[in-house]
Amino acid sequence: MPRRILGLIRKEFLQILRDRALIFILIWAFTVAVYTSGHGRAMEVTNVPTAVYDLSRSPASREFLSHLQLPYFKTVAYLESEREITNWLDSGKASIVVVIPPDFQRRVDGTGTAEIQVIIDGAFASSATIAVAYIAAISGSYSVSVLEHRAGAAGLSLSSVPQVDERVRVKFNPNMSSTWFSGLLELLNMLTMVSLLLTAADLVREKEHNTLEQLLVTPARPLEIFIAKIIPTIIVVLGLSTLSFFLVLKPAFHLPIRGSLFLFYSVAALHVFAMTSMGIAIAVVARNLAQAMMIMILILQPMLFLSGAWNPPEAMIPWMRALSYISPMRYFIDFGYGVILKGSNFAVVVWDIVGILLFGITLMSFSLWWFRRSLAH
Amino acid sequence: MNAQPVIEARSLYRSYGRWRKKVNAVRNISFEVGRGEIFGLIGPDGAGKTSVIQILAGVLRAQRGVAFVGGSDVLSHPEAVKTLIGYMPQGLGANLYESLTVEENIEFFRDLRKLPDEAFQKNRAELLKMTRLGPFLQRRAKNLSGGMRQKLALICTLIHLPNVILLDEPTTGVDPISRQDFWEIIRRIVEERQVTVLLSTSYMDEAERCHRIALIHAGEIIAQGTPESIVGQASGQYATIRADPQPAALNALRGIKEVLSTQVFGEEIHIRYEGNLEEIEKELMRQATFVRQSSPQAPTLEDVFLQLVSDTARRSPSLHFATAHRRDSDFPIECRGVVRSFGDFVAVDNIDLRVRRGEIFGLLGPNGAGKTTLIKMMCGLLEPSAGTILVAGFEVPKDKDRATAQIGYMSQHFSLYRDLTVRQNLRLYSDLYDVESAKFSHLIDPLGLREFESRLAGDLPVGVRQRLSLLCAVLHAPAVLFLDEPTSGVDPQARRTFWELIYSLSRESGITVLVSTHYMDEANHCDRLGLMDQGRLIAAASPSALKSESERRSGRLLAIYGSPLRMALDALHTGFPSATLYGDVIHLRTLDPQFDEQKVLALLNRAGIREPRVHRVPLSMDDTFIDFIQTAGASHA
Repeated sequence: MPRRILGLIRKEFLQILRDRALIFILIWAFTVAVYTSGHGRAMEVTNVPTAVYDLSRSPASREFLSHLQLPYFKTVAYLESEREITNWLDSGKASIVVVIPPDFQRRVDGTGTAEIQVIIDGAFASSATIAVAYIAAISGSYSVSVLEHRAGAAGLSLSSVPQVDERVRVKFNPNMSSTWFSGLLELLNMLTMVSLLLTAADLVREKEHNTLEQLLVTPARPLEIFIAKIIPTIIVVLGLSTLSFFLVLKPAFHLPIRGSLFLFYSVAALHVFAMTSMGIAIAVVARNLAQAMMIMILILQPMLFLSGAWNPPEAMIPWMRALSYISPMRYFIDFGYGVILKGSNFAVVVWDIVGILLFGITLMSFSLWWFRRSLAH
Repeated sequence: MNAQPVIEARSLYRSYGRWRKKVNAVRNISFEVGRGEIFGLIGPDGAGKTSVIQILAGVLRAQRGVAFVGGSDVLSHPEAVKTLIGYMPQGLGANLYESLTVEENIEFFRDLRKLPDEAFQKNRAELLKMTRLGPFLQRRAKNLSGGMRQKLALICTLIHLPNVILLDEPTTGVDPISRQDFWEIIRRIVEERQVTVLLSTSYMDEAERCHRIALIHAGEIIAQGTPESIVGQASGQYATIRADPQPAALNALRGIKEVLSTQVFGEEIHIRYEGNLEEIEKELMRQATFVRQSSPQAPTLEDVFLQLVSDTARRSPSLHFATAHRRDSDFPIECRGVVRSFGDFVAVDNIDLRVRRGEIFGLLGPNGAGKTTLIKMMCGLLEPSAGTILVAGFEVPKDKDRATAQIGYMSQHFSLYRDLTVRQNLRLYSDLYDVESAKFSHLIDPLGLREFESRLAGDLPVGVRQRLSLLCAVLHAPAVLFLDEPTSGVDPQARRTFWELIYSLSRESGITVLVSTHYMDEANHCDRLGLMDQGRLIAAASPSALKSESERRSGRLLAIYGSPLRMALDALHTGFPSATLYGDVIHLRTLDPQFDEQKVLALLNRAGIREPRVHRVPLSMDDTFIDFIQTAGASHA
């Protein structure tokens, strides 16, 4: 490698090492932030504050309500009037109100369908959906137990009734541990964002302080200057990812690493290259740090949403699904989960790698083109 | 001066930062300004001028001391003071709103000051007439030239007819014609309305425009009084010497005990000496140099400033390079029909220029004249819209990769890494240019960088930063060195050292230097000067040739003294309508000095002026530049 690039790379490291606050923030992002988000973004709902308005006050209603248990539901109140329902929901002290009608016992014992009413605070839509699903499951199992009870009374065995019994085997994440999912996602996000922010901010700063102009009158060429930004970022970010794997994800969350770490690091390096290229492209276009930050906010949010981490691309509306193909995160998240959790090999993730590579090369070419063009304009 | 001062500052003190980074910006500053007086705070950037003005304007608190403006205590009642004064902050039109038109800006300041309509209309008309901004009322502030912006800023400052005006570097970077207009406006409002003016400037040559001045250095006043009285404090004698060959003469002079300091201004060497000039001349002759001319000279304010700041005779540094011989033309810089436009705006307009090897060529012009754009094109940082540029024989930017090794560039802003140490910055640049440190390490001492090697570049004093930038720009021994306003923000002493280094690079290592500046007095350091105005190169010649060309075209400059001055001016105007007041002197250009001197004396005597005197004085670079701009403008119109 030419002496110029080595000199520039040394300079980048010196600058990073001199910035104590930056080092602290980076370490924090890859350890504490990964840890908290692994725990904080749980996909189960727990301790849902539940109020009960039991008009039936019968053994059957008590039997049903006893299924609303901790850790999922926490009964916070027994209501006495309809007016109270609105009060509890409005004040946010309860998220769910279960209303059991007066004829519940009669219906359960009789032939009609017993109805219950569930009123739910839908403001936090995702946890509401999950809570509703739980209640549906509870009422389902309650129905089965009622059926079993009656069948037993009639001397029949339920096993003689044809039914479907689903035996779910969850591959890759057998306990469906959301900490694995969230923790790994946070690491992949951090890896992406840090590569982008670090480079963009650094290059804009060079622009603002005129150091870039000074470099450009030396024999250093734009591509060399860019390469000297990319290589240190790759080294720093991969180093931090190692911290994250072996200080947080493995010891705290027991995350398995099923695939080849070598494959993971190689492709992560490519991804960092793609993201630093994006950072460079932003810095080259932006006139100052404020502009660069605004552009990054505009780009990062949709990029994360389109990555398929929160909802799979298949579930997106068609034009957004099409857009997701140009989100480098889509490929990287797919790749990351594949290699770490599923143990995918190169052949499986090869298209992800191609996507990442194409993305990086496109942006780098754009940056070089724009950079040269800006000399003429 | 009247008994009751309008502005009074006593023992003002102000510091910034704490502990190791503590900066004492204002230290024990005391002065008084009387009614109708123009008082100038004169000193380099960072001397504390702005802080003093901000304290008096009530926008910065002094930590100790007393300040009164118009009888009100600034420190306890800053709001009361703000209604009395007009304050113009530093920067070209810093108080203006870019997206508002000239008219809207003026009206905004009317509303701000809650001015009654009648008074407003009258002031507005008067100020617009003086500034000649009337035709531009509908133009947005951002589309005004630097000089026009500054005049608009002045209108906005004066719209409520304040009796006290505080102006912070009102003329920095302003073109010479606008500067002249500016001083004329100030002079008129002082004369007509007995307004009190406190202003700051880093241009030493503007001191003469003030009634009294204070020289400020490192937060302290080092001299105070009328400009003449301060210049009178100079000790030792000054002389100008022209000798061939100049480098040998300079070396010889540095060896003579009686010579206290030397400074090269183009072909001339200025010396400060003790004893007899003839002895020094003889000594020079003995050392085989031919003295063409030597004449005693009056010291300038800058000379006094330098003496007061450090009275020790300092030996000048010398930078010597073993410059490898390279493919080189006799004209390492060549521009042919170079144009650069940004949209509709033509920043550089059809420039032809050739600079000889080893020459120090100066680009002189106000901010916005196109100097920086031209230099950037020569460095390959910008592509010309039309024309050809050859640097060290290579066409830029086409052949930039080969040209870079021959180009050294120091930009107008400090552009090294502030978070790296001096040593680390040097290491980086030696890597970039692929130069071994042995090739330039002998320059670290003469540049005075040794003691700073482990310091962060961001923590260095401005003068040291400048020298570090210089070293990073030349460590690869380039054929051509481009310096874009290298001395802005540097105190006179550091500036002088800097020019000595430039001189040494040019004369001893044969490096061709192209330097831009907006300091008219600094232009005298150059072998040749290019005067730039609105993107055009209106003249290029040696400073003395430019001056004599101007004298040939527009006449010699006469300085006329007499008392009372106002009456003297009125008397002169009967015969010479172009006579202008310049501080306490009347200036007059004449093509027939012998005849006109008699005529001036006759007019003055007839009017009963006391002590009438007429001197032929050398043209300043300012006068010369204005003359060229006006002639160029006339020929273009």
